[in-house]
Order: sequence, then C-alpha cells, then structure tokens
Amino acid sequence: MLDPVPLRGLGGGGEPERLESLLNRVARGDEEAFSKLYDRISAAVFGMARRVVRDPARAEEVAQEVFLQVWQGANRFDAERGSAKTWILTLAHRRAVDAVRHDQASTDREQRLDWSGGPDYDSVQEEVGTRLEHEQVRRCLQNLTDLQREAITLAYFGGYTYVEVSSLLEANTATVKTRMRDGLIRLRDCLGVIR
Amino acid sequence: MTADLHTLGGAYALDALTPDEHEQFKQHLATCASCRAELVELQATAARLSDVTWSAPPASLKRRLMDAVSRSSQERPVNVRLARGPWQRRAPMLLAAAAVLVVIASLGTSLVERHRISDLETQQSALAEVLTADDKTMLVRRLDDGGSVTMFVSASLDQAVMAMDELPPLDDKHSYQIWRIQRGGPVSEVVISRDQSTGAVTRLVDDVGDTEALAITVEPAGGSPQPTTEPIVTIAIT
Ligand SMILES: [Zn+2]
Repeated sequence: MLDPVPLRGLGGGGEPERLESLLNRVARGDEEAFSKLYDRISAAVFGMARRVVRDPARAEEVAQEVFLQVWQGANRFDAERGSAKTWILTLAHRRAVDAVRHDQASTDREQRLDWSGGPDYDSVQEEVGTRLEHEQVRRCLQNLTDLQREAITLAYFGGYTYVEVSSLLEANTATVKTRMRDGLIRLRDCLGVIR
Repeated sequence: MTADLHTLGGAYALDALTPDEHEQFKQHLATCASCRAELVELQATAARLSDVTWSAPPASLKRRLMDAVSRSSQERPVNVRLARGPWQRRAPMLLAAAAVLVVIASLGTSLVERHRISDLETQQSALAEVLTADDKTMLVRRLDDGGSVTMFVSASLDQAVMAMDELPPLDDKHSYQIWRIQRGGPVSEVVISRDQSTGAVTRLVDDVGDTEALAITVEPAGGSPQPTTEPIVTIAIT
C-alpha cells in the first residue's frame, strides 16, 4: 500500500496517481479508480473506525458506508477545502463517531480510553512511507501538553464530545475546547500540514 | 457569543461538539472566512491522526463494495411489464440502469445542501413537504454524460420529488421527457422545455403508489406519446 498523502514536488513518472485524480475518475463512475482508491485509503479508514467503534464488525460496517458514500458523492469533493484524504477521513470520522454515540448505551465507554496499544501492524502490509507518517504523528503528539494530547486523542479516537472529555479529565469545558484548538494548531505546525 | 464561536473550530474538526453547537458552528462557518480557512487546516491535521491506527480491513469488504458498485443490478430489479414499443427490446438494459442506484438516505445534510434543497424549499411548500417527510427516502443517480438526478420519495404522502441537476444541454430539436413506469407501460409525466433544462429542474410527482419507476428519455422536441429512445436514467420507487 502506498502513502496516501498527496505527493508534492516534481511529478516523476513513477509516482502513483494522486488520490484527487482517482477521486475525479470515481466521480465519473470509474470502477477501476474506485478499486485503486480503496486500496490506498481503506486501511486508514478501517483502522480509525476500528479504534473509535472498537468492534471490528461494526468498523467494517462504518467503512462500507463511507466507501459507498465516496462512490456516490465523489463529485462533491471540493479540492478547495482540503485533500482527498482529508475529505474521506473527515467523512469516515463523522460516521464512526455517529456509530459509537449511537451504540454507547450498550458499551462501557471507559474501556475505550486506552489507545496505547499501537497500530495493528500485524495486519497491514507495511511500507516505509506509512511507517514514516506514523512516526511523525506520534512524535508530534508528544510535543503537545498532556492536556492538549489527551483532549485530542479522547475526542478523535474515543469519539467523546468535549463535554465528556472535560469530565473525564476533570477540566473546565472552556479550557478543553481551547486546548483542542490550540493543540491541533500545534500539531498542524509540527506536521507541516498544508492544504 | 461570537468570540466564543471562533474557538470551536478545534472541537468541530474532532467531531467533539454537542449536536446543537455543531449546528451553530456550521452556521457560523457560512459567515466567518477566518474560521473556514482555519478549519481546512485543522481537518487536514485531524485526518493525519488516522496514520497511527492503520489496519487493513478484511478482503471481504472490498469484494462487497466492488459488487455493490458494479453489479447492484441483481439487488434492485424493477419489475416492469413493458408496453409494446422500443423499450421491449431494451428490457435488460432498463433493468440494469434502474438498479445501479444505491439508497443513501443516510447521507444526510451535506448532500441535501448540495442539491440546493434550501432553494427548493422556498419555491413550493408541496415540495418541501416531501423533502422533510419523516419517511422520505433519497436516491441519487449520476448520469454518464454529466449531471445527476436525485429523487425523494415519501410513501406516506404518496409523492416524489425529482431534482435534476445540470443535465447535459440538448439541441433545439430534442427535449427531456419524464415517464412513469406503471404496470401498463410507460406514461408520460412531463416534457421538460429547453429553457427549463439548464441548471436545476425539480418536479413533484403525485400518486407514486402505483408507479414502479420514473425514467427520463431524450425525445424529439415537444415529447413523444411513447418513449422512442432508451432512458438516460431510470429510478425505481420502492
Ligand atoms: Zn469565526
């Protein structure tokens, strides 16, 4: 699997097709492009969903809905508002969070607090690019204050609202809201995220 | 309140706002360029978090998806008894075309917004009633040559709304015509005049209970009593 982050710089012939270009083809009903897009981004979508909803079968449902949504709605992708990866992962995260909030009555959400187990690399065909991306995110998360990091990871991987995060961390809601924002900004600068 | 709203972008990018605040912030985004600009970057940052949880899904997921996008014709056949006419020979094609659509009612508001429903709602309350009915389902079909058709059906109201968005323009010798497909065969619903067919066109269709599908064909200008070409789109009403 290849690095799903848009490649910059000189476009050599050996570079994989950009996700944005695949998405454009998907919008025209190109199944082969859909298949390639899936191969490139499904582990990110499924892995995130699995972390958020915990149950692998439920995560599969979430991923399936997300990819159908991508197939149907690819023409709504707006490059002005971010990369293809961001668009798909944003859809996926919203979907996963909806699922976990919907299911929350039946689950002990406290169990989801632990995300220190690390990624499920056993099932991933690991490549250097992915590994680097992963290490960079981990390193940048370590650059945050504890409150920033916990607020962000509880929200993103735990599917908690900032109100819930506040009570879990015994912090003021206004503070948590602010830490989510300034933490993401610090993360953005560390990762060198550009649109 | 407004100063407060500017700080919600982080929680919004993490999907961590309460439903009320989520809506509030969405409205704020419409009027605040700096929050919009910031959000683009914060969402890109949040998406990067998924890099640390990579996990390959089971291969069966891809098979199901590829099936869904390529062969969904078996799943949603339209039981149309066609009248004598050109469509009779086209039956297998019609079935295939009808069934490619995927129900995505759960797709929700972003899609609805994109289909300019807010404009439609102000046009006609009957349309709005269907679009806001609790039991409405939404079906979207993208056309091979561009444009899309979205259909909303409410069984309780026995009505449907067809929203045609940017259909390919026709020359002045041709018109789009909408057909109801009923047991006795296709019945003309309406001919869309040329000046209507640019941009977004909507059509409220009554009494859909007996109708098995709606279809659109390209006909000689002014329309035909029976379809003379194969449909560019057929949407089953279920
Ligand atoms: Zn603002």
